[in-house]
Amino acid sequence: MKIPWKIQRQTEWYLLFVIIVLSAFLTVVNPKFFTLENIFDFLRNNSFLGIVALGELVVLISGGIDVSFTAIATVAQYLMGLVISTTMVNNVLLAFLIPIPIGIALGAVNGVLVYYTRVHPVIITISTLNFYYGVLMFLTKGTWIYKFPPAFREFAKLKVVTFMGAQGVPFGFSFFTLLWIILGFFTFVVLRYLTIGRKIYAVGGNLEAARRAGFNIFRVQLFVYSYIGLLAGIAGFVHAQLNQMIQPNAIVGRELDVIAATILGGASIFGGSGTVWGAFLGVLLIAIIKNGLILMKASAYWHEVIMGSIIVLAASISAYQRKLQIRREKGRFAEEQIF
Amino acid sequence: MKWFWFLLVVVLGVVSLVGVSFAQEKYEIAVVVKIAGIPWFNRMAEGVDQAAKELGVNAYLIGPSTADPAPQVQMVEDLVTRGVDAICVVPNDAKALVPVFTRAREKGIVVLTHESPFETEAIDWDVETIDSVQYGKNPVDAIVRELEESGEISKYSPENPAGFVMLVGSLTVPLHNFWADVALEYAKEKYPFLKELTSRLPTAESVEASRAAVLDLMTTYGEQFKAVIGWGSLGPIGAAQAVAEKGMENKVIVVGSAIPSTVAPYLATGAVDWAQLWDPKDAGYAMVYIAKQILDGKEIKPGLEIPSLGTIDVQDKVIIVNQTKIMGNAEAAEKLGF
Repeated sequence: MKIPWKIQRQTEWYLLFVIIVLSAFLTVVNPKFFTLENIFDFLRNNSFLGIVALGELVVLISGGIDVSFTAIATVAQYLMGLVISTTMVNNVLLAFLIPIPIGIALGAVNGVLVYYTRVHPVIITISTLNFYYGVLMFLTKGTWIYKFPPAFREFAKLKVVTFMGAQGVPFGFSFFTLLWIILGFFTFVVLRYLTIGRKIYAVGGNLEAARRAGFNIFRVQLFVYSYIGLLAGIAGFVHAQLNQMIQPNAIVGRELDVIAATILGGASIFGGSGTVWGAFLGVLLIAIIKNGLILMKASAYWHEVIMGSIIVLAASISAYQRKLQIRREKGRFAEEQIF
Repeated sequence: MKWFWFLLVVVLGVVSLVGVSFAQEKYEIAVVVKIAGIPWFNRMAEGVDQAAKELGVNAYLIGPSTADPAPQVQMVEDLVTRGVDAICVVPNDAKALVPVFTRAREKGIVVLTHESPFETEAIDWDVETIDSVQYGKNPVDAIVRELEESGEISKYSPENPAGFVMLVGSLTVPLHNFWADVALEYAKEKYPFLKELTSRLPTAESVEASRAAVLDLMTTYGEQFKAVIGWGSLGPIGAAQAVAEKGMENKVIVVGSAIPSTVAPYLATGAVDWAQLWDPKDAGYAMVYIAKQILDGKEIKPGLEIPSLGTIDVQDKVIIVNQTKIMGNAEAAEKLGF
């Protein structure tokens, strides 16, 4: 293993450790937790979160941040909903292809603004969030879309592998979970093996150094914001499929969930570090807590408290581990500089 | 040229005097909702507009762009400063509005609320188009009716109860939690064979969260989980999707508040068994109507008639005109037209 990867790996191993301990505990409390049906269900339910977290990961690695992806996903899914519910085109592939260019275009706008205005991306993307969402609300008056063509409704039930449940009701590994995994693998390849991926790490690690090394910063920023736009578009489709209803205000407001999951997975808010595996585990941890709270029969009044405590615990463990790691690798001299 | 300026001033003066006196003939009644531009409050605006036309008042509906207490308080403050005649509010946070309501009433502005029958200290009246206690009991009766129809009711006893779970918008929405309390109390008293499996879950404002919660509930409680009551209008929709995914339409009873046009397809497939709601158009109309009566100096007392809605009942500071819409099947829901 090369050295830079080792540091990041540590965070993920500890996160995995927390997840295993938590899962073991939940299984003891309620054996139904560790059933294929339950695991498949919660993976499917969290595929939306998982997909946008991949996009946020890429932006965070580049040293940026994007909070507007919820609005991008909403606009993309809404326009898709409008097209398929008015024309009643009975073709899911077509529906799938509509939100993608919309997502990329809206994301690219972010990229251009971030590069040319040099204003902090939080401010840029909060503004575009409000702009995209505001225009959508203004034009649609918040009307819900829920009349979809039959193919669109049937597609939501698509499973890659199907098993028979105890009650004679089939369950299985959802297509949307597969989509999440495929996009995760794709993002991994982009970050690890493509030149642009290496450039994203470089720009996030030290923007000025990357600039002086002759990197085209604009291209990198345009790429990362378009990439999260692309994933937001796909996630918008997944969200519409899972819920069979498109509400303009259903996704906006969940930015922090996604950013928290990504950072929990080891991505640094200062850029330059983070892995796909970590982003996956971060989403998984949050998903397991949510699922487990009901399975543990915990009262809803405690949900937020337990959720908060576990996240703080997991984040502290991984932060502490990273600190130890840096100390070990850089030795005493670096330690004095850092702490 | 002096005479010209003099004339201009006189003319302008006369025009503005006439303008003011014209404006004063029409009462200005502002309805401030939780959030502007969503379908629910667009429907309410229809009722407000209808009342404005029929009663000859200047009534309109406004609201902040997010459902937050602060911008709503600001909006009401602006109305007080402008000196409208009446302010009707559907509060995001009733407590946050108390100071501005107090100031409004000191200025002689009539203050009404809707969906807020508990925080009535600082207002003139609260207007409800449902009987909140009855509204809380209805779904429990509906569950028992469903159990009777399927013949399963004989299976259950206080020792072997049928389990149910309630979904509220959030643990701090006063009305949802009031209904949930009423339902719980009522079930305990009248139907001892019903049992709440776990305390209410705050998911009913989201299809996604309700769906996930009900899937988890089915996994956790299995056969014991017999019914779900959604108090927020997206609770039953999310529950219905979870139930349909698992092919449990005939095993799990889904009831609660839901918007008719949205819930109709689910009533048709049986994923939702029964739903209720009030029409926000009625509420918008009723608020403006009551405001006009008060401004005209009429006394608010039981038996007062609101055109096409019926006679009112008065409990403390709460005006009730019971217009609960019951949806037992898809046709009933479609007939309501919103």
